[in-house]
Amino acid sequence: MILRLLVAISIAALAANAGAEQTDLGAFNSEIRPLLGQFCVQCHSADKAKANFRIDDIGGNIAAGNDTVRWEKALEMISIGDMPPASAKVQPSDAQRKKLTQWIADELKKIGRGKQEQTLLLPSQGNRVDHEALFSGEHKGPASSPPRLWRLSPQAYAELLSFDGSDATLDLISGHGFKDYASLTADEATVNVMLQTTDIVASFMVGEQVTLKRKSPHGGHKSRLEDKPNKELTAFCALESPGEGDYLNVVVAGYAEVFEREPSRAEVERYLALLRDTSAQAGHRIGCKTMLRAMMMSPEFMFRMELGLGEKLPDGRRMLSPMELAYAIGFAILDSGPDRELLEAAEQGRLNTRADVEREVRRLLVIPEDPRNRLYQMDHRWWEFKPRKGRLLRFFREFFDYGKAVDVFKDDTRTMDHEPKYLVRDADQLVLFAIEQDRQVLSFLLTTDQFFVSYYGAPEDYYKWREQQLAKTQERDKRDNARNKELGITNPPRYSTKHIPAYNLERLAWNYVPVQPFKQPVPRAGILTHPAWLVAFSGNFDNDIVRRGKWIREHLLADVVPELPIGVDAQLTTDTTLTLREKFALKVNGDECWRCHRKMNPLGEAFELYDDFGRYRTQFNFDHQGNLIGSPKELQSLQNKSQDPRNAGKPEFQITTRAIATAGVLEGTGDKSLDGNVKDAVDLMHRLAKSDRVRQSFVRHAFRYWMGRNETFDDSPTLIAADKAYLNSDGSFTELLVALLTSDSFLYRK
Amino acid sequence: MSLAAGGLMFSPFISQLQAQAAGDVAKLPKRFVFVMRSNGLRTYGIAPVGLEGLVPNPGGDGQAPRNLLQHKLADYKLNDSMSALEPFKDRMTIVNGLSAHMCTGSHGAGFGALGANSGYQVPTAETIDGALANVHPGVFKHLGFKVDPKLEAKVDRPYVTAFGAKQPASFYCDPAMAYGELFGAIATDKDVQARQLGDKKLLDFLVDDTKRMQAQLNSAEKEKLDHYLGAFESLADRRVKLAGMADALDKHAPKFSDKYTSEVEVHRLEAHFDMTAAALIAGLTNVVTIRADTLELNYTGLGLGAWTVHEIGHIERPGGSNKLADQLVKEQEQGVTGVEARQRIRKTQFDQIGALARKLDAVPEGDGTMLDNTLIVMLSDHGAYHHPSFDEFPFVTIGNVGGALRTGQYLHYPNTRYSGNRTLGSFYTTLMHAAGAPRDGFGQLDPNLGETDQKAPLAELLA
Repeated sequence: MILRLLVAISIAALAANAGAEQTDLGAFNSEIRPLLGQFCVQCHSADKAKANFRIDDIGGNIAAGNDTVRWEKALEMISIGDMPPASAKVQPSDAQRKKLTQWIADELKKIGRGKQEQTLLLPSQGNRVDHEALFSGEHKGPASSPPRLWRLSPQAYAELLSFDGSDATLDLISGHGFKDYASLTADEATVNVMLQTTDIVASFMVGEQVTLKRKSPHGGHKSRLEDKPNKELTAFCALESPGEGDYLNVVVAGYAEVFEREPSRAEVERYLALLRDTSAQAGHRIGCKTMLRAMMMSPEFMFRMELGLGEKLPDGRRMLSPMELAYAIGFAILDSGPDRELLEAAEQGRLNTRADVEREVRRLLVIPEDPRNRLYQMDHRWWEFKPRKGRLLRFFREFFDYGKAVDVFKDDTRTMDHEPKYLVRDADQLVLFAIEQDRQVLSFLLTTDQFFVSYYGAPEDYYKWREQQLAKTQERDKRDNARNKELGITNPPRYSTKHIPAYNLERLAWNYVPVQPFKQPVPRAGILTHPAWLVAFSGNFDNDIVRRGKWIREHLLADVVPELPIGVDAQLTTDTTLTLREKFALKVNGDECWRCHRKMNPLGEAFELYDDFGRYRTQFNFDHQGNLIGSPKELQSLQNKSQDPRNAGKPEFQITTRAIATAGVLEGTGDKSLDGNVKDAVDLMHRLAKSDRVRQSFVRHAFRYWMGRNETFDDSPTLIAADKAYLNSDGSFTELLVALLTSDSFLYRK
Repeated sequence: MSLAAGGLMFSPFISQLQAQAAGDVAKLPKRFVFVMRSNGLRTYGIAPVGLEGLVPNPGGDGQAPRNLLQHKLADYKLNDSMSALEPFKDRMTIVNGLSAHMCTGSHGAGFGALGANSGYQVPTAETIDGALANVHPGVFKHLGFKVDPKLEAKVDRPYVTAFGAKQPASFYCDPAMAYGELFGAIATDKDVQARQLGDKKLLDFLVDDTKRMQAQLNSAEKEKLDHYLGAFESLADRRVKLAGMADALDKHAPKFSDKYTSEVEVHRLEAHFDMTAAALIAGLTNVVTIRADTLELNYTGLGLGAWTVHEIGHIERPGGSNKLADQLVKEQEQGVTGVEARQRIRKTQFDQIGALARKLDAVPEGDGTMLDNTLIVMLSDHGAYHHPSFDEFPFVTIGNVGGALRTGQYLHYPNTRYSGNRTLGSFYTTLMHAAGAPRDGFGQLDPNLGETDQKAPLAELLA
């Protein structure tokens, strides 16, 4: 077993070392150099220098700046367990590995190099905690989170203000993966956006005519703010000159509108002072709006407080107080925060124990019984489709990252049938369906060959619509109905089918399937073979083998892929006669690139089964000059020409084909029976779905999302319990969440 | 004290006018504009015609020099992509051969590019533009503009500028929003004035409110609120100052047009440059950083829309012969090589820089023009190439900040393997000297080079 060491655990030690210090060369010569000699020099010396990297002549005085870049590379490779390679005959012991990495990290820290502490707090760095050790049971906790303020996510902020637009504030992490993390704060850019947002919302509250896109409340949980202007606030603003009592009343009314509770005496005084002062100089309408905005931008509104105000345990940990719990649970599951029941439970002393927490979590996660009210059913008007329980869905969206499909530019000249936002919606519905089925959730999402496509809603609603449609007598409807009949289409689709060629369905000949999800016409296996994911992980012109492989490595195999080393100039050839895989074969196999790409390419290559629009394929097509035909439109045009009798025998319209190569290699599942060669993506996904490590990696990501931080060894009991809960409940995501949200990691602060 | 009076007291525009009237050059503001592109600023792409052979180039046989090369720009024609700068040849400098091994990163050095450090995605110290803004703050301490691939992006915190450790600067992506914030205070309307007063009261209140909250917290969480607090304070401060500058803003605000909301990225770049010129002339700020493109951007406005900037960086190295024609949209793009595509983008950016220089040169200041007290710096966060080796970190500069810099020259420092090689840190040290805030070095040191040289400014550049 390769034990990966957490660089982060040495942070405290490192901080203590700050300042201009020298390297203890004695320690280097007596303790470090022998380790390098024993485990590294054999391959990295003047004679051999594998990957063009020598360590035999490395300078030990790191603090004086000797060979900084080489040391950083060595640290990265040793700490993530990539070096020495698994094939090496001698491996360092855990203690030796730890000694080496800690020493290098400490020394680099003295000159401000190595991994930055802030960076290590980001979700993308979570895998640096060794996986085997986390799940081995050797670490006993006790678990807790640090006391903290947790900034509201843009979605929660928008939800609380009933303001439609996730740009009510800003995401603090751009790019891929989880966005809402407790280590992040709000800065000027965020505040700037909030100034504008709160101005609009306050204007709406006092009854000014503003175009405010109000959100409809989700999931039966009422938004905190009313859906129409507040009467008291509006009346106050309309007064000619408000009296003493009016000012006091409007503070209380505003407080109730924003915070849904009565203000304390001190709170009344502070906001009253602001209201009076502003009103005196700028008029009471502006005064009132200013007061409302101050409430909406106050730290109490913007940050969730999780300080641990509850009882203190002998080991120094404190439980969250009932009110803190109400908010923590509320925001864990709903963007709108705690509902009335939670707040009442906290106020009435019914939110004190782990059992109380479990009761509330289960209540909020309950699946509606009415089939019409299913999570994945669309609202009455499909364009207003807004998935309920956005926070649950967002976990899967950010975990799989298929939402990025809309950001990948595909030129219209390659096909007119690409509508990524519909693909993402279809994938959302699949995820919501899985959440609702709540059986083998991960395995289902990794292997299912049943997808939603252009889904209408409940089947009975569809049939009703079809009846109406067939009964229509206008010229155009009659023509459509006749054409459908001729083509044998008994179930005409109600909504856009522009994007369905991505599923290898024919736009004009598709019989809509009322009961969904339904079995796909071509081989598919879960979200990673869903067009939305395939597009999200593709380039402008082709598949992205590397990022696909990297995603699997990091999200399903709990592994770390080193960042591209400085100086590697990884340019692919633009030879148009080669397939992507062949281009890579020229470039990365065998040379120093391979050291990292072996972790990614053999996984990503299995997805060559699909093109970069997500369509299943069995062959590559080449034109008469041997150039690969890269777009559906180009292929269609050439096929049309070659089938034209007038072109018979003309060589320039000849299309030659070659079978696609979809073989890949899976290693690192920790299960010998699953590792090995795979036939294609479908085979790969079915094997991954059986792996314990994949399931545990999923649990780790769920932990990060719901705790808002990366896991440490102290969280080991939480992770093991969550994994067990999932396993023992036939893969229930609800049970996994209940386990996480009733864990010490969630409940305690220290 | 009335709002307007408060503004007047703070307004640097006023002191600028006074200094000008008194003919006191030393008191004139020193201004800096950084233009950062993605994908690398190729050494051969900025070397004047006739000197490209001194660097590895698409023709093939150039080698990095072993000794410092110094040429007068007056004797050469500039690279085609830089033709807009011909009129400024005597006032500009091209620097090749600086190394930047303190930087790290696979596609650009992130905060390290302007910081001369290994910060990459987390700001570990102030960057040069942040440092200059700390020394010469304006009403806007610093202005950042970014051409974002997404039209709907409002503001962003790119890995570019930092005022100190963990203090990244934000950049406007949406030109229309930036316009409102920069030039919105022109309004003389009574209602608008009342609203602005409301904003001021709001920000003041939130400062107190946040401090009250902070008093109840432990240190780690206090720090989190520090950022929140800092945001209110600087916003409050700025609004007061802007209100006092309505006249100057009214006079210099650019005309609002379709450019500000255009889907075409080149139009938005132009809008950002227009606002940069106006903001400098109106005295809103002294330091501007323009993030001219990112790796995710598609240059549809240049007929290169089918490729992202990242992909353009991957097309064929110098010297290769592969044409892109087969993969690019055929009708539009007959045979564009990577070299040509990058040249086209670089030209667009240098054209904008030329236009900015012309505008500043048209405004009298002291005994000369505003351009005389300004320095425009073009660089890439990648150094010279798409995947940076950090052996080369090229710069093009226009202006001399009140005569502090020697101009009109092409400098090529010896390659990192030879003695006499100089670093990014030395270049930024030179800028700090020019800004009148000399320092003993800037950023982290490259441990493999001599310390003395790295901490010293570049003598060839200082006047």
